[in-house]
Amino acid sequence: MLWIDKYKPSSLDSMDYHLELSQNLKNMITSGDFPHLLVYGPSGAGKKTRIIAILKQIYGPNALKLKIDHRTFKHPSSSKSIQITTISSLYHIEINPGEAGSYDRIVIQTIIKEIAQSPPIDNVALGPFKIVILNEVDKLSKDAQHALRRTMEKYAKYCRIILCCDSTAKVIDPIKSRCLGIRIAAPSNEDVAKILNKVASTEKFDLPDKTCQQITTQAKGNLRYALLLLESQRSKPVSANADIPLLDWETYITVIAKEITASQTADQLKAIRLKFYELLGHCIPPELIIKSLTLELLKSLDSNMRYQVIHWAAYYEHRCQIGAKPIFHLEAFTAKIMSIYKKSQD
Amino acid sequence: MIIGAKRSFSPLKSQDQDSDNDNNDNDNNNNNNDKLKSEIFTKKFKKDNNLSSIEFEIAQSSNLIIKKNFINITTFSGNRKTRSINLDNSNNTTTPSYQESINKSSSVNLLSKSIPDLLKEIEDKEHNDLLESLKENNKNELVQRNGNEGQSKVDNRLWVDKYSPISYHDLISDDKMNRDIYNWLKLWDHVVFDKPLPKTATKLPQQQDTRAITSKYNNSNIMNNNHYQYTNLLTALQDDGTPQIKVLLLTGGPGLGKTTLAHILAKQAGYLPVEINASEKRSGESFERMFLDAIEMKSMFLDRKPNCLIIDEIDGISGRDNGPVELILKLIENSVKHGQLKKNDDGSHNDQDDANYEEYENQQNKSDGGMEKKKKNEKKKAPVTRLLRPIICICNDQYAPSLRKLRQKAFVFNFSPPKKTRLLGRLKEICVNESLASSDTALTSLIDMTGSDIRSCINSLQFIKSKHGSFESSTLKANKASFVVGLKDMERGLFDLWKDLFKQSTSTTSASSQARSMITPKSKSIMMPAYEKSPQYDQLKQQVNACSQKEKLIEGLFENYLSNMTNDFSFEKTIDCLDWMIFSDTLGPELQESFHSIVPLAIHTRCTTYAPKVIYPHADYDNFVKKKNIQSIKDSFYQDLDPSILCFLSKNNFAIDFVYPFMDILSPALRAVSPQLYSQREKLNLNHLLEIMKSFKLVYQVDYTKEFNNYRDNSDKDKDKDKDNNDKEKKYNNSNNNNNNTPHFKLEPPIDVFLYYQHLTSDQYVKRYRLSNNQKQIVSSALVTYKPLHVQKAEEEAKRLAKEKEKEKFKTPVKPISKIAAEKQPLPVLKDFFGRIIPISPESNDKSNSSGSGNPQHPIKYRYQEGFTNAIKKTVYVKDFL
Repeated sequence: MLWIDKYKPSSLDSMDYHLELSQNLKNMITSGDFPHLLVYGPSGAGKKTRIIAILKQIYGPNALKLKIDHRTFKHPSSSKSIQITTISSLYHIEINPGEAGSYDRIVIQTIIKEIAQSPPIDNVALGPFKIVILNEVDKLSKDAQHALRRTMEKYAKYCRIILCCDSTAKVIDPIKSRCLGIRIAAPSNEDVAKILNKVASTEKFDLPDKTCQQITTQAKGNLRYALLLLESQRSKPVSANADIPLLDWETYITVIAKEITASQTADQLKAIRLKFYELLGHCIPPELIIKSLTLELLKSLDSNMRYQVIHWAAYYEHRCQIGAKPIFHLEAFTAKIMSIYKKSQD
Repeated sequence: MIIGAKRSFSPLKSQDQDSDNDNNDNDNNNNNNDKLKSEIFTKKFKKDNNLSSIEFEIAQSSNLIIKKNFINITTFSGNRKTRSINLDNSNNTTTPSYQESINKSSSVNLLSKSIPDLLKEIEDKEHNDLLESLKENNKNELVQRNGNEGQSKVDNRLWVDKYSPISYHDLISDDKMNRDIYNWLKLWDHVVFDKPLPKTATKLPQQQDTRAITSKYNNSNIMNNNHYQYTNLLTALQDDGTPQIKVLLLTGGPGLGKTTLAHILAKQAGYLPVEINASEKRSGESFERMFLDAIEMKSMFLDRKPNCLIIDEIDGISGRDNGPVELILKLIENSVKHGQLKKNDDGSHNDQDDANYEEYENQQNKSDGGMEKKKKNEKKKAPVTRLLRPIICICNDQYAPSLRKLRQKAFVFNFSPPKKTRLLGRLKEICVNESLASSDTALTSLIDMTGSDIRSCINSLQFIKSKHGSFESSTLKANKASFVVGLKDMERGLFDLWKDLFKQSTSTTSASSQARSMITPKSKSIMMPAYEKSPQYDQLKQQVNACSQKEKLIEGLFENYLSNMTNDFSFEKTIDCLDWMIFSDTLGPELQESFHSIVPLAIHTRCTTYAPKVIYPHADYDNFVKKKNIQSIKDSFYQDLDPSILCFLSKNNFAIDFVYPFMDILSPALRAVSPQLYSQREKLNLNHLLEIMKSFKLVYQVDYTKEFNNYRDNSDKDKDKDKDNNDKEKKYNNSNNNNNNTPHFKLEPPIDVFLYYQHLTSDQYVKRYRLSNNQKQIVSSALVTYKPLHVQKAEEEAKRLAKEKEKEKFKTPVKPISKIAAEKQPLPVLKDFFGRIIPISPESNDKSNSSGSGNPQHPIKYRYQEGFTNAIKKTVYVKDFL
């Protein structure tokens, strides 16, 4: 078992940070009923951990007996069948509607309705309502979100929906207003360091302060990543302990950033295009590429240029969200930066 | 009474029939077909003579009773006519024969001439009529040809039909190709008309040869340009006398005369062209029926020519499972096979009569055994008839996906547009015939405009004639805006379009610079008036509008624009181009339709060179495939994860922050020695690794496919990694690398692909420690025997108890062996190790759980020593030791 799983707190009481939040959640649950929840926060901050802890708080340890279902159902109009994986216990079901791609609306309409429509048979044993966990709500299409809207109200009696996403920016307002927003902020570096030390001591693993600090700065509040890094350190050969390398794709982006500032020619642009393709091929989202590239570029630019780079990064990132071909946007951003850089050099 | 009447009128009856027949002939003077019909009808009529004649007679007799001077006649169509019987032999009756017959009817003998004479007379008349009609037809033909006195009604025909070539010599397509096709058709003579083998035919003596050529021919998709090399193949015969090539595929743009050519050549070679085109229902069974009818049957009428099947517009054939094409292919295959089988059978049938051909075919089928027949009956979809008629397929796009297989089997003739001079000559001829004033320049530009499409050229000419009366280049230019006749939506190859878009034309430069100032992405919706002045631009616009593969068009532009960018040091044009592409990307599909042509043209104005370099865009697709691959690897990793893990591991984060450290965790520093020799800590590490791999259902598998290919590559990588490792490991790894026999181990599912990034120089690579092949082997073998901790513990407990018992029975048999093993262990662990084997108090056992119990699965070592015995005779299985 990986350490991230091994040291995952399973109850609200055993959380290591955001203690106040845990207490509030606990109070809310013990008071009986609660509204739909919209849990959001950066990746690796512990959203999912808290959601599962909430489940456990409500239904007891049986809620952690999970099973996986692969469900297939027909598209109502076309003959295409959609497959989706659900994780469920007696009390809840977890769906990742994004799996269905552009058919996410159908998933929302059919599965959730199906679950939400029927009340639990044995009220006493199973509790007053079922819980539906929807992951990555921000990746849902607008259609699907609107489909969700009415369902949330109509079946509020029998089911609670817990939405989980990184950012609420792409969640439509009607949904936000129907939910109680719970923000799980990323843990501070001190929190992360504390947890790292705790894990290291239980694992009888010698964690030098320097390494600990390196991990925390690199993880940037992503506790999952921090713990994975820690674990990878543990099994490393002793001599290689000196430095913690960046993630491979991050290194790759630093290479691109260096190339942009090194020379600004059409050929260079072509070479960089290949690199972008490579990154996209490795399932790195284009938004993340633009963001990391910008951050990387900022390191080597003066303040005037920084402003421009950030401006254009925002500009092209926005267009990238609208469009469907990320490579155009990435290349346009790169070309823009090259042109700015060239002008500033002259 | 009735009987009597019958008797008395019976001679008259037959006469009347004949005369009626004659009447009919006169009515349908020039119509061969109708005549034929009536002939048949007569025959039919004679057959069921009895019934109709009786009716006839009743009518006759009743009439006779009423009015003696009139006779009632029922024609074949059921009309009844009452004719006056002219006793005076006057001349005002319609037909002489009729008159004659009537004349005789009143006489005692009833007939003036004998019936055979009458028949002969009729025959003669028929003959004359036919001759006359033929003459008339020829005259019409001449009239049409000359066109000057084209006032007759036939002249309303389209010029296209009027001037379509009617014989081989009228064709203006490539002579060589015409000849080749014709020769191929003639090649069938042997089987179809039972003529001796043509001299040109090259008979392939041995089966092996046949195969060799076929395969060669299959491999190289034959095109027009190298078909000279394959003329041999084209004239090759199979052993049964059928040509090696069963099907021709004529391809080329519209209006080049493919269909016409096929028809004319088929006629020329003595066939009846049977065309199946898109107008018919061509799916599934209806096609099959039509198809089999065409190749198996023969027309009853006309010249009784054998059929030559022409399948027009075959690329447009629909069908769920590509039925029609499959059908043809199956047939080809069958007949190829047949051809090889029926080597000896062939000669005996050679003297079969042409008309008996069907029988011949049937015999062949029978001699093949009942199996084929049965098949035919039980399964319609598997026609087993041999292909004994030439088939010509015609299509516009030979690369249509449905034709892929056919293209390999058929001989492909690629129609290129006819030579401009020939086309021009033909057009001039037409103009002269139609008294349409024209000039060479105007006609040439018409040809250019239509892209040498003969049909649309002629159509345009006819249109112009009706509109202007003369055709000069001035009309062409003056009416540029309204003159749209000559232009059709040409779908040219994307390749040409890209080239044109990147091509700098001298006159556009000024216009484009003007226009560049006019349109920026911010004022997108405005059309570009400045552009419309330049003709090249107009043409491009047409082409872009006609292009149906918009996505691909833009993709190609994106992939090539950088290579064709000139003088763009400040990246302004590049950014502009990219902005336009982004614009096209961000448009919704609804809007994209209306802004179809803007983006390519906008790029055209910014990015042109004199010598455009264009490559086919594949990067996007490659990337798509690659991503799909990687995603499917990811999915397979997720496929059967434990729900408790899956629950917390979102797919989105997997590629971002999970897989990289995870792979580090999967690659702990393991010494490449047998796990038994590991230190306590190393064993712990190994166990931890095994546990993780088990829980994520990862395994190392021997990768046979890469074993040899990647070996060097792999060892290089290993060496790279070795730099990071200490000397000891380096030594181990190197020694392993020298051993060429070790199989290559690969992680399954291969999530390590996430770590390999291309386009990096070696110093840019993140240096991470990865397991060497040997280490992987160790892990993989350890994984097989690995048992989870609690199972291990339980087993150890059981073993410990068993050992205790043993120890009580025999003094110390185990100890020395374990001592030997223990001495090999590194020193600091020795104590712990003993602590585990020798029973100790429960507390200390618990204490050592976290560190100690992850220890080896092999608490005792068994070593066979020759000549040594402790004198214990007991059956002990090896598994007990493990």
